[in-house]
Amino acid sequence: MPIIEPEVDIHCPEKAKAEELLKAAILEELDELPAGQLVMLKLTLPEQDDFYADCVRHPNVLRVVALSGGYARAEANDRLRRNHGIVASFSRALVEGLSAQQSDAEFNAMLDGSIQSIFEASNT
Amino acid sequence: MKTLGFNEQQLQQMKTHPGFIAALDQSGGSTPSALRLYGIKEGAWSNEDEMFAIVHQMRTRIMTSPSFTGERIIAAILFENTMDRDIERRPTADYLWNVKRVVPFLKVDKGLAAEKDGVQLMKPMPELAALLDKAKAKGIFGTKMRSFIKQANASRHQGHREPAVRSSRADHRRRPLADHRAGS
Repeated sequence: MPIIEPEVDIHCPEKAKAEELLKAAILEELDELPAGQLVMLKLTLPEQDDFYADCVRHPNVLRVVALSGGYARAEANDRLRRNHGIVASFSRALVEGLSAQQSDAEFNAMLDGSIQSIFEASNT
Repeated sequence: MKTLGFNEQQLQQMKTHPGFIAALDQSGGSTPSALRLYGIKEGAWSNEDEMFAIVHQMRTRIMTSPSFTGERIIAAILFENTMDRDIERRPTADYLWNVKRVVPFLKVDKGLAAEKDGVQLMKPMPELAALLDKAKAKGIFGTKMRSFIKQANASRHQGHREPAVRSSRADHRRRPLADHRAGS
């Protein structure tokens, strides 16, 4: 199962326009896949909420996931919550706040809170 | 067909289970900054092997944490070095699925090429076939590959469409790992 990640830079000066071009290109490729051939997409959280809804419901897409891309966890979660059917695939936002200097109890508590907040933001 | 059963279970989990994916796949270039954020300064290691050993300790701490389970984390993306190491004396992918019920994915790209036309495509992956064979043997369910779009520049899209999608589809045809229907 491939996850295809064409990340759009969150600092892209015309991010919404880049997303339009990208979505059109992705849908064009998806439409050429044989029936039953599934892929996953990993995308930057878009400027317009639910912008990738066509990808989420495409029959060749198993799941659409979102990268955090440099957004801090709170903002990444806020944006994710507004994009229905997309779940997180966070890296930086997941480990934010974890440190080698923490005791195991502190570390585990911090990670648990982080996991729960991303889990909740994914379930919309 | 024991493995087919595993694949089907993993496919179902990816399709329907609530939760999210933990991306733990920062590799060579991004590892120093990941470690810095974790409170380990550059200089704590004297070569790449030591750096990867430290980053594996960090990831082991995350993956063995009681909260890190398939209940809320449906999958994790690893990079090759993590896949090649063990967690609690089991290969990482085996540990993730059989202990934690987290579906293991592998980042297979070799990083980004230089920017051209507002985009950084993936570097060539000449050893992809061998890497996929190894990943499959280790119980990896899927792959991940990333390209990076910096500008809203349509020039390449019209002629070439989205490069990552295209290359992935080619992989599909060639490699059973990328195709869930192939099972095994």
